[in-house]
Amino acid sequence: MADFPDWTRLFQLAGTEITIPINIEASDVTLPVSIDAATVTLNIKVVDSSIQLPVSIQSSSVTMYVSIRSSVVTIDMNFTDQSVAVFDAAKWFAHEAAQISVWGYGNALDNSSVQVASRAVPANTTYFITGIGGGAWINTDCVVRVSLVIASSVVALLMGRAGANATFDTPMRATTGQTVYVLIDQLSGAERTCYGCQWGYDEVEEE
Amino acid sequence: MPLTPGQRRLYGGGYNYMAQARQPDGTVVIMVTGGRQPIGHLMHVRDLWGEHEEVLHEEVLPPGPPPWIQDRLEQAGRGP
Repeated sequence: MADFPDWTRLFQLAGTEITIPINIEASDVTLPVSIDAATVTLNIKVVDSSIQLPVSIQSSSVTMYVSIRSSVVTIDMNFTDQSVAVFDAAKWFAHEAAQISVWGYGNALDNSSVQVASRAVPANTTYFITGIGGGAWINTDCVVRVSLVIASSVVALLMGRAGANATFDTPMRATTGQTVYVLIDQLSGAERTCYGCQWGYDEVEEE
Repeated sequence: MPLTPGQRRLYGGGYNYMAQARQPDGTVVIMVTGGRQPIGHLMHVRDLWGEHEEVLHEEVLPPGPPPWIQDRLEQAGRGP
């Protein structure tokens, strides 16, 4: 292909009906668009009574990376359709059947603790914990402490009367091979069965 | 020691739900369900997540709803 170092061509089309078909058939197609300039304006304006902009991406792995650096950024996404849904991460991973719920129970002596609801984060997985809960099986007040432990470190600690629970506004993160469990301590004056639960979602790395 | 099918599921991540019952001797009975495998796994494990983890007993839980629910689903025309 020839190289045109100072190539300028003006396309100015005026007509009542204009069609510009672009049909490329090849075993490999590359359409790089690289613009390096002091100022760039890409103004795409489509006005019609009926607009279709289909974007179809079919691949085993898709990454859409959008990076915007600016002192002022306005992103206005306006969806008006009965079949449009925007999920937050937790709901999306549940939609993708990647939600995790682990619950369990065990006995703890007075002023002692028991590990319940434990899991080792599986291979190639990042586990995001969005909530924990737990308590002692008792119908009177007693102090119960519920801790979330990741890789031997307490990362969340709750206390309550007979039990406690929390939903994290920012999920806790655990990586492959780390053991995550709920630890229950109780001060009821006797041995009690304690229950605990942790929940969240798994993000699995593509191999 | 090679992993059992249930352990492969535990460490491979093919489940959504796990229930655990800690026994007085420190062993744990685990049930894992959900994920892409329709079956569940029930395991009795010693030293769970520990260096000497050992599966004392393991069984497969059959997939799908119980037969009486399945029968009602089919009668309602909503069978899988």
